[in-house]
Amino acid sequence: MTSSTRQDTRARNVAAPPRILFENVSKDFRTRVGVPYTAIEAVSFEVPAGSFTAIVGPSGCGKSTLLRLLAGLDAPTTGQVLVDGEPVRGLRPERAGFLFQQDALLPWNTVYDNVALGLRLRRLPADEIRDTVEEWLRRVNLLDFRDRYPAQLSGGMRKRVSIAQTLATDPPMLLMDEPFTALDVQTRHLMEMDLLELAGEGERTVVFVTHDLDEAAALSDSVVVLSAGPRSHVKSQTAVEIARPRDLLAIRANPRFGEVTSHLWDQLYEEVNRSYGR
Amino acid sequence: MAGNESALGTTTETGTRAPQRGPRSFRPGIGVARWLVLLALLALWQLGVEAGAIDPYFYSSPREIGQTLIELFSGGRIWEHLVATLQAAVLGLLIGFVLGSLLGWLAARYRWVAEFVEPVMTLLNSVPRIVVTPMIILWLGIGLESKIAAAFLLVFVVIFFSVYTGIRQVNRDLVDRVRILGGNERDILRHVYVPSVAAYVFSSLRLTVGFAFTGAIVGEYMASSRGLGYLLNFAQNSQNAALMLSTVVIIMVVIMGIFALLSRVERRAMVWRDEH
Repeated sequence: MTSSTRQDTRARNVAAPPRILFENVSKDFRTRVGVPYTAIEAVSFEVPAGSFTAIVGPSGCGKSTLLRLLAGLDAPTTGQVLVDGEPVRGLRPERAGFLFQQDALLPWNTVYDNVALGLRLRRLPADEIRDTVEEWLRRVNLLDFRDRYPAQLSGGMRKRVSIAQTLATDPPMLLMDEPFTALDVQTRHLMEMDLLELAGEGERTVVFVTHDLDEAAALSDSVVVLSAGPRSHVKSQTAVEIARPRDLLAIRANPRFGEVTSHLWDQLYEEVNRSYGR
Repeated sequence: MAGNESALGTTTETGTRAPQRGPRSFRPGIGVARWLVLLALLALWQLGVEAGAIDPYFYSSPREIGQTLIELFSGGRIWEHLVATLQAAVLGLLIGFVLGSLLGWLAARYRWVAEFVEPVMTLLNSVPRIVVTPMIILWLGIGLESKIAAAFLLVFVVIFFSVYTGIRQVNRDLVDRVRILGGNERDILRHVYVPSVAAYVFSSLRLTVGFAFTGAIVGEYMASSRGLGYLLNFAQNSQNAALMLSTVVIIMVVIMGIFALLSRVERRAMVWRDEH
C-alpha cells in the first residue's frame, strides 16, 4: 500500500460524507416454499450528505432490508440505490460502517484486537493501527479494558467496543440496525449521547433503523416512516429541524421535539393498526 | 475531548461482571479430602488382605501392586510396552485428527460430500466401533498398523463431527462482520472459522484422547507381542492379578497426565471463554 492511499483512508475530510438516494427501490424475496414475497416496493427518499436519517416502521416492514441494500449486502430487485450518484454494487467496506443490534464482536479477540480488526483487514501499517486503536479506546473510555475479552464486559461496554471498531476505520457513511435495542434504558441514553459525539455531527452520513420514536427524533435530522409490510413504501418523511449540537438531556423539553414525536406516532399508529389488520 | 470523557465516563458504572467462582477454581480442602478417601480405601484393601478377608490371588493387594510397579520400572521391562502403546495411540490420534478434520471441512463445504458421508458417519457414530477391531487385526496383521487403525477409527468419527458441526454452527453475524469490515474469504477463515471450530475440537479432545488409548490397548489385548494391552492379556493368561492391576494403574496415570497437559493448553487457548 502506498503512502498516498494510506493518507486517504486516514484523513477524515478527504472522504466527504456522501449523499444517498433510494430511487423506486423494490426487493422481492423467495420464501422457502418458493412463493415470492415483496418486502419493499417503490421506495424513494433522499439522505442529504452529512445528515442523520432515521427509518422507523412497524415490525416486518423491511427496515433492515433497506440497510442491507445500502450496505451492498443485498441487491434491489428493481430500482436503484445511489451513493453520490453511483449505484451501490457489492460491499464497499471503505465507504460504509455498520453497527448491528447484536454486538458481533469476535469472542476470541480482546477489546484491543476487536477494535483493530477493521484496520488490520485493510492491511494498514502496524504503528498506524496502534495509534488509531489507542485513540479510539481512549475516546470510548475503554483503555483500561484493552486486554479483556467480550465475555468479560457489560452490554454497554461491548456496544462501545463495537462503536469504536466501526468508527476506527473512519467510514464516511454509518449504517445502524437498531444498534441500542438490546440495552437497558439508562445505558441506551448514554450510548445515544456517545454516538452523537463520536460519530461527529455532520461529518458522516448516518442512516439508522429504530423502532423507538424518541430515539429517532432525538438523534436524526429526518425521519422516514415506512408503511406496514409486505410491499411497504415510504409513508412520510419528516424533517426534525432541531439545531445541532444537541443536548439529549434537554431535548425532551424542546417543544419541537414533542411536535415531531407526536406526529411520528400518529403516522406509525395507522400503520401498526394496519399490520394487525384492525 | 473533555466532553467525550464526561459523557463516556459515566457509562463505566455498568462495570464488569463481578468475578465468579468457576468450577475450576482451586479449593485445597476438596483436593486433600479426595486423596484422604483414596488412601483410606487402599488401606482398607491392604488390611482386608492381611486379615484374610480378601483373597490376594484374585484381588492382589496395594503392597503387591506397588512392588510389581517398582519391578516393572526398575527392570526397564515396561518401557517397550509403554512406547508401543503411546506410539499407536498418538499416531491414531494424529491421523484421525487430520483426516477427520479434512472430511468434516469437505462435508461442511460441499453439500454432495455431506450427503454421501453424513449417513455413514452417523451410523459409525451410533455403533460401538471397537467391535470391528478383530477384523482390523485380520486385515492388517498383529503389528503396529492394526493398533493405529483401531485408534484411528475411534477418533476419526468424533473429530469429523466436531469439525463438521463446528463449521455449520459458525455465527453468521461474525462472518458478515468481518466481510463488512473489509475481510476477504481468507480473513473470514482465519478470524472466524478457525477459532470457532477450534472451540468445538477442544471440547472433544479429552474424549478423543481416551478413545485413542482405548483403540490401541484393545487392539494390543486382542493380538500383539508388545504394549500395555499385551501386558494385560499376558497377566490375564498367567492369572497374575498384581500385574494386571499394575498395568491398569499405568494406563490411568498416563491418560491423567495427558489430560492435565491438555487442560493447561486448553485454559490458555480458550481464555476468552472465562467470564472473569
